[in-house]
Amino acid sequence: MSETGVPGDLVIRADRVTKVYEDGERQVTAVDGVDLSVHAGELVALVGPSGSGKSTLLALLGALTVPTRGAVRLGDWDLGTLSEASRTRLRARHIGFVFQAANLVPYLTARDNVALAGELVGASRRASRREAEGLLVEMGLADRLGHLPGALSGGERQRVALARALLVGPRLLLADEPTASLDSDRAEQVMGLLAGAARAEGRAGVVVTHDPAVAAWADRVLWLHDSRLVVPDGGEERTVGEFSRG
Amino acid sequence: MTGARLALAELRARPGRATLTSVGLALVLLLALSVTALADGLVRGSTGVLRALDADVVVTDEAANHQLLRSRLVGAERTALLMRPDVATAGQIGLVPTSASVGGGAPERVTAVGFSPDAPAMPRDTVDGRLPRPGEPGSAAVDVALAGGDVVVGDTLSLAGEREVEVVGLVDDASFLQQPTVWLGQHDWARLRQAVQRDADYAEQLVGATVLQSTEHPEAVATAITEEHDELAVTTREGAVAAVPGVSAQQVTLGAVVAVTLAVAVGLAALIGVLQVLERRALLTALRAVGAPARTLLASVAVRGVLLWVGALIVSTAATVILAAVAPPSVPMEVRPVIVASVGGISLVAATLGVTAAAWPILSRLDPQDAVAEEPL
Repeated sequence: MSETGVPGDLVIRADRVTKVYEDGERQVTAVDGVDLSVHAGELVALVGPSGSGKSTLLALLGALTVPTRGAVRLGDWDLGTLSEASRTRLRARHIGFVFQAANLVPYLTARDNVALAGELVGASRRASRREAEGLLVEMGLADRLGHLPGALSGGERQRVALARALLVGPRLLLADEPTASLDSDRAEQVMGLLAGAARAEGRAGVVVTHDPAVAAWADRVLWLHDSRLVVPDGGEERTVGEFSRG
Repeated sequence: MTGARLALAELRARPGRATLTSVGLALVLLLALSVTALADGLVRGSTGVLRALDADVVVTDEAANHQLLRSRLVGAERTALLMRPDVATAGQIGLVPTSASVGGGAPERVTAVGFSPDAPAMPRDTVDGRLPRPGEPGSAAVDVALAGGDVVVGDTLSLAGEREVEVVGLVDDASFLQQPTVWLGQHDWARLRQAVQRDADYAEQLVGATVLQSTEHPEAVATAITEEHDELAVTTREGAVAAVPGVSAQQVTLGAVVAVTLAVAVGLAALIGVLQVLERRALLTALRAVGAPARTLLASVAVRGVLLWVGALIVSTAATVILAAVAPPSVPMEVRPVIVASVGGISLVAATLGVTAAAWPILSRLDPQDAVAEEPL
């Protein structure tokens, strides 16, 4: 929810989205008829067992792939109708990603890793680096600006990855198991920053997780099982407490 | 620019790895450059006489078929050809294999070149002194390569152990069939020829080939003269170079060796490029996911390849220059800037194309979806 508790503008919407993969002669349905809406200022957690379709749904929401059936709309864009090049541009400008592994460029400093996101959308290096410095300071990494990823702790790397995801001011922030490799203290720190960023500036966030502690940060928790949402979006959702109980 | 910056950052961050890769490529490039330098030295050592002349068309008798040593033309053809409107000037040269010794030293195989005092028949430049003047018997200009480069103006030269001439000038890069040349006036050359080829008729004239400066395109002039004179074989200077015994075979053989070596080097570069892409697959996939176009990633691979190749070229050029410097004088290895530039330029373009062509199919097929945790299907 937004800070006022009133749902903001719709940021992303999935309508009866299905994703089918070819596996040899077999067809595998990874996501089956999912409806989902995420509004500005809202952080949604996608939870479910391995193979339930969480990551595929995240990939569909993030324009990393296109649905076999149904539609995913980010603002006015129907992601399924865009060319690969257009989806690449859209991801660079409007979607921020935080991966399970930080996936930072190992030979760029923390500052340059973050600035890279700006350069990918055509911003000057100088301006991108300035923006990156500001974000990294906000993330508590003021003394790590010139460090290579190899010299950072896991939590620091994820904060750099979060800064990279936020640099261009995306409308949608997507995170895939962002704390999976962190201890609980660092996970708490990263999730605090991520949840704050996901709800800020009219942004929406979706986080895929197995971790109840991470799901607890979300405004809504959506269960996926066997490629379907167990409680369709808009229905009665499980509370965090129910989720935590399994 | 982003791709180039990524490449530069990687090379800066991992200089040891970059150096190792460049040195590996340099070893193959060293082979290519050395063979090219040898091929160039061989060809130049066989054809210096023709390159030293300011002539663009070479005329031999038909039986000689463009070969200077076998041609038996005398001055009559020169006079006749001078009448043509497409011929500016003409001269006569004759070549005789013989031996020479400097200051009583050991005899050395040389080619004695007799020349008429006409522009196309005379070496364009002397590095010291001058050429023998008409009517100045007993004088010669010699190739600086003679006597291991120890010959100087004023030395006395013994030709075929029979005739002594004084060195009045030095010429450079004028050898023939890997032998230094001695440039003589008509009289000295004719007498030397009779001394070394005892069955040859003595004639106080040059017997050999006619060389021309044309007023039109040399190929057109050569064709025109050939059509009008069945008894003559006419070609451009380049044609005469190719007709020097062994030159074509050397060019073809060593050219093939160079081509294969370069192909191996380019293949190696492409392989390294592919391995580097495969090694970074996870990172590149993540970059694709966050919005890096495949062409940006390709640019980083290509720029990295170019920089590594340039590094390899610098190392291999230095090594080739050192190799040429320490090689015995009998090894005709010449590392000319044009050789380095052509091998370097061609290989750089080929390597860049090779790396990009090899890396693109992988980069273009990276699925950004792989950046998120995999779902068991």
